[in-house]
Amino acid sequence: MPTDGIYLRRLAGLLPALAVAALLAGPAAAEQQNACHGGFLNIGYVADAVGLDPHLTTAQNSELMFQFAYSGLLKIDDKMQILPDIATSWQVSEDGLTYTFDLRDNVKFHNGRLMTADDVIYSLQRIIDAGTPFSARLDNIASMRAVGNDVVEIVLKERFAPFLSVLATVKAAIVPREEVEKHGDLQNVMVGTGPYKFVEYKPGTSLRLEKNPDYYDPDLPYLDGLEIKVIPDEVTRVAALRSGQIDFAALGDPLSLRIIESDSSAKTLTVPMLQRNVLVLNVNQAPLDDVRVRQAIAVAVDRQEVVDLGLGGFGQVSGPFPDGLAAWALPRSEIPFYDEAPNLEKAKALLAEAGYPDGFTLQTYAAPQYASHIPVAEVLQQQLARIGIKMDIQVIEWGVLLKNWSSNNFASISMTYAGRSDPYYYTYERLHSKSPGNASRLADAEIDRLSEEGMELTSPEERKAVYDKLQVRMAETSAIIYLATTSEFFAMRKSVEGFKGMPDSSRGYLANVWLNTACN
Amino acid sequence: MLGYLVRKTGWTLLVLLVVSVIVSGALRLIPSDAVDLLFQADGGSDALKEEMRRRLGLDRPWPVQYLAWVTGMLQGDFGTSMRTGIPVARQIVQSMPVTLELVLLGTLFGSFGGIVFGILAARNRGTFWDLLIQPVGLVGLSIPSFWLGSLLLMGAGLYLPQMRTVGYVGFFEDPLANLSVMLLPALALGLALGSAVMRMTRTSVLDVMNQDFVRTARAKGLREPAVMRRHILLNSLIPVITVITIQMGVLIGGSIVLERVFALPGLGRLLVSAIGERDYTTVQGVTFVLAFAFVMINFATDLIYKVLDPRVTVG
Repeated sequence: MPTDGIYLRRLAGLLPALAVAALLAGPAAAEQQNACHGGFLNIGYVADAVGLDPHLTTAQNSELMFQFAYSGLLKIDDKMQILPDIATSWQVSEDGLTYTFDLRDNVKFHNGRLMTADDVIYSLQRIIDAGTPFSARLDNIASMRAVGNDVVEIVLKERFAPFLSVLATVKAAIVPREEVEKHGDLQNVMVGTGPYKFVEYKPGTSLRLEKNPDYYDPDLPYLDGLEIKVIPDEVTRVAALRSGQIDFAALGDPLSLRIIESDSSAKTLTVPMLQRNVLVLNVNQAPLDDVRVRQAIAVAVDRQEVVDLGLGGFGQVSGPFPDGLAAWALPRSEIPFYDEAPNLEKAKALLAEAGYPDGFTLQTYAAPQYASHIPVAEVLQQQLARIGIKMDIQVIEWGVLLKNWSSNNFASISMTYAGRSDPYYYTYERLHSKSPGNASRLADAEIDRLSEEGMELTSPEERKAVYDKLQVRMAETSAIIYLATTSEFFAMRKSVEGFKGMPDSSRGYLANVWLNTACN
Repeated sequence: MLGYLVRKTGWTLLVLLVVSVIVSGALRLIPSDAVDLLFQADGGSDALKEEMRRRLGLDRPWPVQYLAWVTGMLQGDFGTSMRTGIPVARQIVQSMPVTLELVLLGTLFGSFGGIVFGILAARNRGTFWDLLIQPVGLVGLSIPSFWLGSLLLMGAGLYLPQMRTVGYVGFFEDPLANLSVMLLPALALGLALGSAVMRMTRTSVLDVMNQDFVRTARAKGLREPAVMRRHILLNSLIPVITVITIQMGVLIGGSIVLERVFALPGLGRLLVSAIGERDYTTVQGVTFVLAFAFVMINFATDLIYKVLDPRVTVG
């Protein structure tokens, strides 16, 4: 039985969170005031879902399909701000360990039953038991309990500021226990709380959904239904869009954009992402073990040229944090080496100091499975030649590259690092000496200390101060050379409205799209 | 006959065994495994990765893994995908009709076109038609099917926008849409096979046409169409059947790439993505099915020979 103390703290915490929620919900609703209801949307995706169960499947493309039928406690908007979804408001205790979520009381599952706090606990526990990479992110949960039907309380083992961002994903979907027990798992059927209901799934080919009339937001969704067609080949997808067989597609090649732009029935959208092209350096391997050599590379690279020549002009120069992480990224003018790049004299001086006045040969791995990795390496090869570093690019298959990446068996790698909404993922996960994601094997005491602090503090102001220092230190240690964020490209028929790209590629806005041909 | 069947079955089993051992071993020689590919560059903790390897049986030595797989196969269990946990048999059954239809249509188009033009070229030997058909045949053999496929796709998009070219539909669901979607890939696949068939048909028909018994038939007073039908055609077909059989093998290989270009959810696409994901059970299951198909095609060829020419003793 909860004590009065908890209720009082809850009330005190309630108002600001509610106000924030209302503010954030307001403008979003206003933007769509011209939206018309009706119509059917055909979407072309590059790959199949490989299983529809949001808790069991780990393929990136499955996630893109979940968002239509499932909701989590929280979600994020295109500015990476956390928004309410199933939870209307939340409070964090003083010690940073207890999170209390207030749930909506009018959420129905697609099978008609009302959702309760027990369903939230069941779903989160199911994720923890599933043993997937995402389960590991919920490792920090010590206990969960339902307080009545509408409140969920989660207690963590250790303070973890990014915890809310972990929950703000459709992978943390709320599912009904009886459906899981009936089907064994949800790989072939979708029963959730999202704006669309499952109709039919043809593995490898298509997924069809229809409007959920009981969605908790009475105004949404706008469409009557949608179908996702699996079209792996980009040429085929472009052809399908131009002939009207699909209305919406994501593209990977900037050349495809040019083709669509010349077509009067379609329009394009370029969305800068948080994902970045980087050059990962192995801090254990000479001569990269000398920090001056790494700094030389950081200050010699012409990042704008990488964007223009390696990314087809679509991308934005990036420092240790991408610009899209607006609340946290320092301007590059305040970050050493990034403020003056390209500065070839300084680079050569640093190399000479380290004992390599004539440069050296640098082996670089890159995989052809991703469009930008090899072109970016080729641009870097030309640029580093200017300071005497001869880059030897070795093309290997992605799986082989990953093996080398994780076992520290490389000199340097040209690849992309995914972007997430919390600065923890750019710092602790990539550069803390104990983190498995630290492929460079950097062991810097200051980075360790600062990244641990950033993870534990909960006040945004205090965290900002820590992450500002971290960005400077990341540049000083230069275990990873940050190049540029890439962009995602979308093409759609002119009738499609309301879509916004998400910097983390999650495509949340596809669920809220409408067709202007439905307005009559 | 019984001896023949026993020997054939023995060979089949041996082929399947050797293929499965080679595939299973080769897969494990390639760096990385399903767990590494699952985590991508997110870097899971070693403990979590080892736990997942244990669950998938990847921590056991290769011969143990292989024996476990074979034991399952003997009981009809193809295992589950290492990536998704979905039964491999289910995925194969779902993908097979697509590849089957593609291979059959491609073979049909190619064989029919090849035989017709081969006969035309043989009968009009030396004339304009013959001189036209032959180089076209050579070009047809040389064009890569995936390039031709993309070209046909773009051409259809430009000049026949009403034609449905993407979005596979099962034949029994919507025969017209299904054929519309399968037409272009079957044409692209059939061209190479057709060219090889055309060349062999021409040679073979020419060969038979000059034989004594054909001259006898004409001397008897038989009209040309009847000569063609009764004497020339069947006799020239045996080498042609051989070419079709061999080319079908190449065609199955080509279908793997073409399935990607045309977004067809067939075995080829399943195989390629499974290799990239190091999904050993799926790769082993699909290659087993493909190897079995090859053996069956050879077996069927033997039987067709027997039907075409009763003098041939099979086995």
